[in-house]
Amino acid sequence: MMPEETETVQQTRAPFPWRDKRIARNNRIRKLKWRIIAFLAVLSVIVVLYPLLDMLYLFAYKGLTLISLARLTQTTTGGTGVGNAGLANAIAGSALIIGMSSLFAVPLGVLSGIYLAEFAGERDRYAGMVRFVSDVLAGVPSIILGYAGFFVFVLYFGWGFSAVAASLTLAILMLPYILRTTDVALRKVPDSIREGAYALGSSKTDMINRLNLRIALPGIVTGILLSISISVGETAPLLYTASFSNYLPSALFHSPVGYLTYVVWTYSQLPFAQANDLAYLAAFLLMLIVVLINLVARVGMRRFMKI
Amino acid sequence: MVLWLKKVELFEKAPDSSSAGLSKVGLDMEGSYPASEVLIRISGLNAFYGQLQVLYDISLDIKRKSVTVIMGPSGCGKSTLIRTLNRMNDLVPGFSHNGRIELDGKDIYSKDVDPILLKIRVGMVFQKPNPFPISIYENVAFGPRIHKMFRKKEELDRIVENSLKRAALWDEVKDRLQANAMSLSGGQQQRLCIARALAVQPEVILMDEPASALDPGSTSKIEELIVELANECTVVLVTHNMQQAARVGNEVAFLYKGRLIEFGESPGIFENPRNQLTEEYVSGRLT
Repeated sequence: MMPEETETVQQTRAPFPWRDKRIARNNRIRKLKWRIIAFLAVLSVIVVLYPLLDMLYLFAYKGLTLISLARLTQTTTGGTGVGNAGLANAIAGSALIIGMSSLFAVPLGVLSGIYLAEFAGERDRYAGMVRFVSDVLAGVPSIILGYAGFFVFVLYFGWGFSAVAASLTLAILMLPYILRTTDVALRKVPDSIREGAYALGSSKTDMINRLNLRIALPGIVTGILLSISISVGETAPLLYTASFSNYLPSALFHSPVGYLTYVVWTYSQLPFAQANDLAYLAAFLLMLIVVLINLVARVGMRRFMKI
Repeated sequence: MVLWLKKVELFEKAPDSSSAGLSKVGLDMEGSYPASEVLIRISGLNAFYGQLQVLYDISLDIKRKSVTVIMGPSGCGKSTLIRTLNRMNDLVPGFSHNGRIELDGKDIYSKDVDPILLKIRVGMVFQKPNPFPISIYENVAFGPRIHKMFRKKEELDRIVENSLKRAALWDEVKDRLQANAMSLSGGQQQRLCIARALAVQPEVILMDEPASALDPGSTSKIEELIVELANECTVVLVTHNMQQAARVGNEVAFLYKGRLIEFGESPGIFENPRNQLTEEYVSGRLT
């Protein structure tokens, strides 16, 4: 520090001795506050993380000790405990339902997201309505969707408990997430970039196809994966629309389908050790799928963004 | 730079070969008009955003293969003027205009002109560099790709290389064409945007304050580039910087509050301005 500067500082300080005391006191209080906040922050992290890690550990431990080829290739045998052999029917059913619902929801969601972001005007009342309805839909309890699916697909359309009824119900559940993430990701493409494309003589479709969708892809894919991992964990809508079956899925209509969440829900409450084991294993598989989807989304997107 | 340009036939042929395909949309006037010195003729142009009039009765001739500078203080309408030349303002809600803008004798706002094909002939570079967040190569290839301007991948490679060379960027990026364009510096990004505009072989390049967001070094590179480009095509440059106008302009238009105050050849308009306002602006007293 320069000598003149210290002089001026001392000059200004000399007449106010109480000022330094106030500053020191204030500083002590600030540090104390900071310690309290830091303590609370760490505490809440522990409170949140401990149960999660404990749960992950429990299911990973149980799952890894229980996993076997037999349990993955044989089907459940009902609740008698005589040999709730394996999860093959539930795994296959879950895969079938998720696959089919993605098949319905992804194209529909992405296309309507493109419409909302790119083709609907700022004051398009129809688009505003679609956004509102989809936000409401995202908040509707899934059991209500299941009930509606039961009435419409199972009874009214007469498809019975079936893979198609279940997939369509789940697709309705997935739709708002895909639609909104696509909409948001596309609207984030800056105007300067759109202008650049137009200045090169690009048509709107060329711009969307070659540029906007490419820029928005990480967001869109994240939305799709999020919606899939949400629907993987759904039970309520499937109870109403897929019922449950101890056999591998054989038909798309009029044929109840098994799925993993049902096993977790029902078999964990049965007084048989084998049934409880299957519930643990099913829970472990569900968790594994969700964690994997999230990992793929994160790692894949990070790599994609680097290009 | 100049040496290799002569070797590249692709661009020497460019104006003719590209305009041949455009005859269907009424843009190709070759044969029906003698090639005049004037490429763009603006006459009696008034422009409005909603009720607000921003340009008043502008009449201006822009010569072929020269740098025409439109200068003036902020908000004088120079950006609006340049954006009417390739119909970028069509996208702005509430924009309207009257008067006539001719490219090679053909009204660019007439109904049989396709604004998409017009933009192939009249390219544009913006104030803020706006590279697409994709690879450097794909940035330059964007225009040729959407207009299907090549038959084989090698042709596209050549277009990309030539465009980057014309924009004086090739040496800096030739080893990392697949890198994301956002990793370039601001000056490089702007030259990439110029290369991107050049890749569709436009006859006119509109530049809306292309160097105002750049450091002095990058600015002088862009200015050198503008002078070189004028050998090949017509450059219309908007700037509020009159030193820049003096350095690169062949002809300079001075715009003030939406009116064309003075239009003349470059040294003359700075040395002997005919109008009081021009003199004040050139001497730095008008802001």
